[in-house]
Amino acid sequence: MTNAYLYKSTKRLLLLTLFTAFYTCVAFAQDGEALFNSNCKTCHSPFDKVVGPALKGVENRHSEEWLLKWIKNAPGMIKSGDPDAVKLYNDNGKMQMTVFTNLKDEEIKAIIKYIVDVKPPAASVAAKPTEEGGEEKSSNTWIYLLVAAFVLYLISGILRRTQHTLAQALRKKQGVPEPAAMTRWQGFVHWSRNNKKLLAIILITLFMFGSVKAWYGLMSIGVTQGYKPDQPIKYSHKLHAGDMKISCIYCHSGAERGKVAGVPSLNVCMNCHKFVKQGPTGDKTEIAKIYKALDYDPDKGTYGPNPKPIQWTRVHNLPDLAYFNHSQHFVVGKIECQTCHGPVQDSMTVAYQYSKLTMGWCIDCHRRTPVQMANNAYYNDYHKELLAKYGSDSLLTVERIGGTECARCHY
Amino acid sequence: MKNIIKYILPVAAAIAVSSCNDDPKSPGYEYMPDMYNAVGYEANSANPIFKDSITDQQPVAGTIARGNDIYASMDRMPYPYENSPEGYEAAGLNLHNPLERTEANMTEGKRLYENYCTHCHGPKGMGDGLVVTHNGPKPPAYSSDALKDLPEGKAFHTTQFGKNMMGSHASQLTASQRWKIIMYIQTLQKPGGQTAAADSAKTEAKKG
Repeated sequence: MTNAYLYKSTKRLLLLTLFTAFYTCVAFAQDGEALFNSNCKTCHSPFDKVVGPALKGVENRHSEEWLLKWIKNAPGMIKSGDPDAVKLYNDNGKMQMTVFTNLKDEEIKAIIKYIVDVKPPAASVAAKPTEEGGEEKSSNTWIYLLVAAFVLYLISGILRRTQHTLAQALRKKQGVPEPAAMTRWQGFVHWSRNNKKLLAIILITLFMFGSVKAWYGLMSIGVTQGYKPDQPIKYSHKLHAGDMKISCIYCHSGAERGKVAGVPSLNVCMNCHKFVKQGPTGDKTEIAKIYKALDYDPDKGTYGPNPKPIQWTRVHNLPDLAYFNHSQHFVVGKIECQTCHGPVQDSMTVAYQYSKLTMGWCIDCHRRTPVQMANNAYYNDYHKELLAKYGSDSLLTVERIGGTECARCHY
Repeated sequence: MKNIIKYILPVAAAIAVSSCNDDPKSPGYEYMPDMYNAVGYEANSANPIFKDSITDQQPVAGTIARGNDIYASMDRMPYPYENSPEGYEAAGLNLHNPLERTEANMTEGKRLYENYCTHCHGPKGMGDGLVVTHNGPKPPAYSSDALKDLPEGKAFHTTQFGKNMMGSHASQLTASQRWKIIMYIQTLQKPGGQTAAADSAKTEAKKG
């Protein structure tokens, strides 16, 4: 949530009632960020190159008018020979940006505003922060908050005591009889009668906080985005696919042939690790786990009789009720692995689930990704028919050929 | 005392709700988990039925997979030469690329080469891939004296069983895919010129 939006929402707070203003504020402040996350994040990051370029500073690189046009129809602009568009296309591995005809001008402006305002996450600001360092930082904030809360609590206790003693002394002096002692509940009722406004504010705050938390809590049920389990071997995708640029499908070759991309069998590891016996830091324990599983003697180069499979922990799991096929997307649809799996080669020392993998997330992509029909004999006739109906290649999305039909994935 | 309730309650409530799903090592909560976890055994899942607990079993020894894809005769038939120096020589003499040297095969060969070979053999086949520069095993350049006249049969035999530091790539690539790669590699063996091996004995891909 940005300052500008908070300011806007504060103004609303004065105008409307506290309650409605709160929900408006949440809805508005979410706008740019939520739109960015659901539409752009699969291929863009504000700070890093993912599939497309890093977006920070995009408002200086292109005019707003150009950006509106570009986001709505990038392939069209490339085709029309717009020099900026062609340059972008060539600089980013000739990957066409998808069309976003579903976004309104205001929504695109909200996204641009989000990119202008967004600050880099704390961890990436510091030079080469370790994961432990980042965690320490956040736990420090918690400690400060707790200490502050405790101090405030002490101060309020002391003030109460003083007030109580003073009132007692005053009553004694004036000869007013002490009020009857109250039970804790009576005391609370008495206090709340005298502090109706404070009580109302506390209750409303609690309710709002709770309802938002509960809403997001419910929305995250069954969504395993960010799941990053420990694996039996500390395998780093960053080292293998990033530093050494081993292609994804070298190990996950199933993605070319069928439904499952697959975890590579250990003979694929041994293609290199027959030779490479220690990691870049000189550590041998992780690679030794491969040898142990294969019952392999690295000194003699011989295999023993008792190999045991390594039980990796599955990160991505679609429910059984949804059919998903890797080759359909990777080979036929020519979707980059990173579109769904994120910057595996750049940042994943431990693999995690980058995308939501919810149905809405699937459908979003099916609605905006054009099918590559040109030069595909399978689509020859259908292509002409669809072109006549919808006009432009960039509008022939997966949805137009039935990619959002229920039975396409649920059967 | 009532202050305690006033201050502790919201904090406790906040911690209680926000701690629901923040642990990246937990997949979080699921609604009706029986629909998320397959009853059947999936690829790569553990399997109590087989002795080695692996679901992805090898085909039974001595059997041939069925299928009618266009490369079936290549991809599904057993490899006839033995994993021995004699087999290597015999393959060099008798084994030839069954695929035609077409534009499409060459393009696919290049794509496969870039995905499955470059990281060791290097983009131009000079044996200078990024794995090599990261302390990996260094293969000889295709244009070196050792490899520039290597018959295609020997090259295929190597992808089938591995040689020296190179392992077998038969589990990642089908026979037809490896033939396409070899077709592309021949252009790296003798940059600029047609290879004798590539010109000899090419028959069309058999269908069925």
